[in-house]
Amino acid sequence: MQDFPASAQRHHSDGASLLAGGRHETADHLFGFSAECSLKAILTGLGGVPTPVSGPPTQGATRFGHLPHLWDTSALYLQGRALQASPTQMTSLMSGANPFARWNVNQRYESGTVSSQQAATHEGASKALLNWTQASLLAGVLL
Amino acid sequence: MATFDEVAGLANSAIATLGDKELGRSTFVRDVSGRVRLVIDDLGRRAGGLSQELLAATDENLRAALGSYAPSGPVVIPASSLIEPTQILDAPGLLVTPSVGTGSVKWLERTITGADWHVEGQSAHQKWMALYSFKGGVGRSTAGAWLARVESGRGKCVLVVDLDLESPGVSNLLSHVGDLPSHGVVDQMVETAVGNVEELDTVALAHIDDLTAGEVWIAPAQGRPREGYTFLPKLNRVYSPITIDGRPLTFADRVESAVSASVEAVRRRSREPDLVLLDSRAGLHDIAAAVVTRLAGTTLVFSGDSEATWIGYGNLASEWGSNAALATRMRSNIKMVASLAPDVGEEAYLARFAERSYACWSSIYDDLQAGDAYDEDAYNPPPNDTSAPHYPLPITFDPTLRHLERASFLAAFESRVAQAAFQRFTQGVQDIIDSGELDGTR
Repeated sequence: MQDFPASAQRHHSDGASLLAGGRHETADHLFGFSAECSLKAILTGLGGVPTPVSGPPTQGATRFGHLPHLWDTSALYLQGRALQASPTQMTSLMSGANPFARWNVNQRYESGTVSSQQAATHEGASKALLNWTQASLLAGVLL
Repeated sequence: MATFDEVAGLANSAIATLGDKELGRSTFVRDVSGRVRLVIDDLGRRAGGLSQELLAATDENLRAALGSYAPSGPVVIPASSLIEPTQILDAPGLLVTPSVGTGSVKWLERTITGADWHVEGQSAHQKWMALYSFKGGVGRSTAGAWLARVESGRGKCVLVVDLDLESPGVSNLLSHVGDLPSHGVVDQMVETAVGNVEELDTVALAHIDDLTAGEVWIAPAQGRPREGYTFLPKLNRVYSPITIDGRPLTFADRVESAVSASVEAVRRRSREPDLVLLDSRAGLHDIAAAVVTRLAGTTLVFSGDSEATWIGYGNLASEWGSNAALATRMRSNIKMVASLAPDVGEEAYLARFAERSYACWSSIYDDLQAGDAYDEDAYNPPPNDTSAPHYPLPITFDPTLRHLERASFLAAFESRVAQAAFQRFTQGVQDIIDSGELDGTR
């Protein structure tokens, strides 16, 4: 069953386990997926998204695509939405620079591209997004 | 059918079989629709004490009790499933709702607006004095302009900021429209949001202080009307939270920043204002929440004597009264003003006003202890204590003082009848200003 918040949490905690074990490259991959799931949880939860946000690729067009592009389109879409009930730090996260600018889904085919520092940055951003998702669900802002 | 006010009691009853041992710091979260979830404290050593059966049974009990106020997903959320559980369990806005029984579980209110009515521990600006009323049309702005003029006569530098953003006007009592600054409070808020920090022309010297030692400055809500200058598109943008240099700002922060910018503009062009009067929007509105609860060191609360008004202030007083720290702070900040006192029969009017005002505002006074347990430090002044927050400073109602603009306002200022109408009010406020604090702080 498609469950963006639960998937965001699973990818994040699996990534954290890998990172703790020194396996930062695959960890980094999972932090990106966790962030994608959080953003999709928020986009779909707020309602009014013009076309369905893609779930698994088999479900059709990936209009919002992957990070880092997904971050930018999400920031545009979320700007000005009534998210006051969620942690206010999210307004600063989304209006700041894209923390996943150097993340690429195809990095799973590469080796030695991703530094441990990059993975740690992505862990922080993924955690902040997951926190935002959970807080928004608790606040009843997401459908 | 459980309705909003019953839900908290029903939820607390539904978990009554759980003790402090099971609950720990568990917290009810009431969401923006009013639906309720229980974030149950299963962190650390507690986890072993909470079986899956217990969680499932609690979820079921709560769902049955909450009725339509149960969320579609789980009612019980284990804290361990949250990435930042302390943001809920140790949230600064936790309320102990007084009507929810004896449980130790706290409540966290999640709302889109109005959060500032609950804000604790903000450092108010001592020189900022708010003018507030639950209902409009009670002479609040006129009294503010009058006060500014009187204080300038005492040599003070006074800044009047029009924060009645949806229905501004106090500036027009103090200035020709053509002499207003080119920009207003809403411009300041909008331009700052995009980092346009260049100095805007947002304050102007009021043209009333020709004979006095002091100065009156105005910071209008909008700039001088002119071709190409808009207001509504900006007004509609000032309420959103924004981020400046990575720092998140709430609406209240934005108001504070805009007022501070006007204060700084006056200081730059003349001197530091001795008094900043904030003409707040009426009603239980977010502007008022920001100004009264967060920003102003003193709030003059203007009021007629009508049932609807007392119900309104009663709502506010009981909300503040449910939080001891906030109640203590607010009772040292507010002073009632009976701004529609009749010329004839005033004494009886004020006595009745004071009784009703006391009945309303005693929610923010301390409870009086019976007999030997009497606490002499408790603050609970009697209804007829003229220095108490609830006891009004009177302004005599004068129909000629309605719908004024600059010329008629200045004419009124020379009228002995009008001077008499305002005399006790201005004297009372001067006493507050000169003492540096209101009665409740002592």
